[in-house]
Amino acid sequence: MNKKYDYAAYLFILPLFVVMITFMLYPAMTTFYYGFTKWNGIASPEWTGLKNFQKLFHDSSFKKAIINALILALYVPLWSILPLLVAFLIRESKPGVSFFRSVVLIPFVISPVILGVLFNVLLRKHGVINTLLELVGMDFLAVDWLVEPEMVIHEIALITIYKFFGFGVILYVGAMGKISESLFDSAKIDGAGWFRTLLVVAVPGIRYTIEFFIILGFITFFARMFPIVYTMTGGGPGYASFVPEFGIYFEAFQNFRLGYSSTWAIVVYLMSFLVVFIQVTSMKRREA
Amino acid sequence: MKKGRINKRKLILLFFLLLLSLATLMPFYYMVTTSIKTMDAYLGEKVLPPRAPTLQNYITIFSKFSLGSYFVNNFIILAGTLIPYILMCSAAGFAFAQLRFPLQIPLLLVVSGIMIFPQMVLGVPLYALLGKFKMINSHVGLILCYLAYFTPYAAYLMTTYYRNIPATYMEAARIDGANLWQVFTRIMLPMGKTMLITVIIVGSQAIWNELPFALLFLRSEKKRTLMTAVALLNGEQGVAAIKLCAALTAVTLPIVLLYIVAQNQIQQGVLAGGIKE
Repeated sequence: MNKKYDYAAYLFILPLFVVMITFMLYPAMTTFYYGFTKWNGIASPEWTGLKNFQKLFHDSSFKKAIINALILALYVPLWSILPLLVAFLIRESKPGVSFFRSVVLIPFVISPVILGVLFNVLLRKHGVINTLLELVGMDFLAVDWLVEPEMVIHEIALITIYKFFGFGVILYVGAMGKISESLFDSAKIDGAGWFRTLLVVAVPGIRYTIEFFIILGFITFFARMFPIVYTMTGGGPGYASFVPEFGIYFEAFQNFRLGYSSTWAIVVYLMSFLVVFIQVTSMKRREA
Repeated sequence: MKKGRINKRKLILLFFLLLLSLATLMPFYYMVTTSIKTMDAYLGEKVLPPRAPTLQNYITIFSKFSLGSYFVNNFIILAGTLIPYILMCSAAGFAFAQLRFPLQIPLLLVVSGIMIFPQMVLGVPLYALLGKFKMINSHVGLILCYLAYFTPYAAYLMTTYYRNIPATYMEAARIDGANLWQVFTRIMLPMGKTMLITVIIVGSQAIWNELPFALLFLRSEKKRTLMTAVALLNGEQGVAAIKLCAALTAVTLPIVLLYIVAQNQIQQGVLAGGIKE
C-alpha cells in the first residue's frame, strides 16, 4: 500500500519534541561542553581542555565512587535471578498468587525516598532490626548498620533489590505467560524436573525480558541510586556509600564547581551508554 | 495418592508466598506502628504495636513542619504536569502509530531512547538552563522538566497502544471529511482511554515520588515538594524516628491508595514497558 505522507503529523509530535529537545537533549549535550570547563555557575565557563579529567582520575572520591558502582553491579545476578525463581514458582495462577503479586509490587510503587528514610530509621543502632536480632538471640549480628563502612554499600544493594523484586516478578510472569503451554507439557512428558524445565523452557522463552531486566539492573546501580543513597546514608559514613551520582551532586551543589561536576556526569553517561552498547552489540551478534 | 502430593506442594508454595508477602510488608508495618507511638512507647517496645496509639506525631508534623503546604505543592505540580502530559503523549502516540511521515522511525527511536537518561546527569545543565529562563525555584520550571523527562515514555506506551487500532477507523472518518485534528479528538482520544488511564497513573506515581529534580531546582522552603521535605527532615533536621515515620506514612498514603484502586493499570503499565513482543 503506497499511502501519501501526512505532513500534518509533525504538528502532533511538535509539542513533545519542543519540550524534549529544550529540556532533555540540548542540556544533555551541553554537559559535554561544560565538562571541559572551569565554571562556578555565575561567571561564564572557561575552557580548560582535559584538566578536569586529569583531576578526576587523581580524585580519591572518584576512585571510591567507581569501586562502589562496581560492588553494586556485582549484585546484578542476584537482582535478576531472585525474581526469576519466584516468577517460575507462581507461573500458573493458583489461589493466593494474585494477592502475592499485588503485595510484592508495593515497594516498587513507593518512592525510593521513603524507602531510604525508612531503612535509615530501621537500621539505626537501637532500631527495630537490631531489636529483632537481639530478640532471637543473634546479638553478634546486631551491628551499627549505618556506621560500618564496609557494609553500607551492600545494604543499599539489597534494599534496591527488595524494591525492584516485585517488578521483576510481574515482568517475568507476564513474559512466561506468552510461552506456549505445550512446551511445558512436553518437558513434563520428557521427565524434566522443576529446575530443568526452568532452564530449558522458561529461561530461553523469556530471554529478551531477562536481558531487559539485567540492563535495567546495571543502569539502576550505575546511574539511578541517588534518591535512596541520599536519604539512607547521605553517601556516608565518610565516603563509604559515595556513588558516581554523588560526585555530580557534591561538586555542583556543595562545592559550586559546575564544570568539574559535568566531568563526573560525562563519566556516568559513558557508563550507562556502555551498558546499552554491550547489549545492542550482543543482540546483533546473536542475530548474525 | 498423587493428588494428595500435589496439594501438599501447593500448600508449601502458599506458605512460602505468605512468608514472602509478610517479609515484603514488614518495613511498612514498622513504619505505621512506629508512627503512632509516643517516644516512651517507642523506646520501651520497638517490635509490637503500641498499647495506647497516638496521633500526636501526625499533628506535630503537620503543624510544626508544615507538611500540609508541601501536599499542596505536590498537587499543584501534579495537576500542572498531567494536563499537558496527557495531550502531548496521546498526540505523539497517535501520529507515530497511525500516520506516516518522513523520519518517523528515527524520531520514535529518540523518544524511546530518552528513557535511559539518568536524572542526575541532567541536574547541572538543566539548572543552568532554568537559570537563563529565570525559572529556578519555580514550579513551572520543574513542571517543564517533568514533562520532558516523563512524557517520552508515555508517548511510547501510547504508540504501542494506538498501533493496535485498525487504520479503517481513521480512513472512514477522513472519507466523511474529518480533518486530522477531528480524527484525533473525536476518535483517537476516546479510543485510547484504557492506555491513557494507565499512563496517567504511572505518570502521577513517578511525579509524586520524584526527588532529584525537585531537590535541585526548588531552592526555597515554601516551594518544596513532599519528597524533598521528607528527605531533608531526616538529613538536616534530625527529626525523631516516631515523627519521621508519621511523615513517611502520611506521604506514602496517597500512592498506596492509588495503588489499591488502580493496581491492574499499574501492573499493565509495568508490563507494557518491559515486554517486547
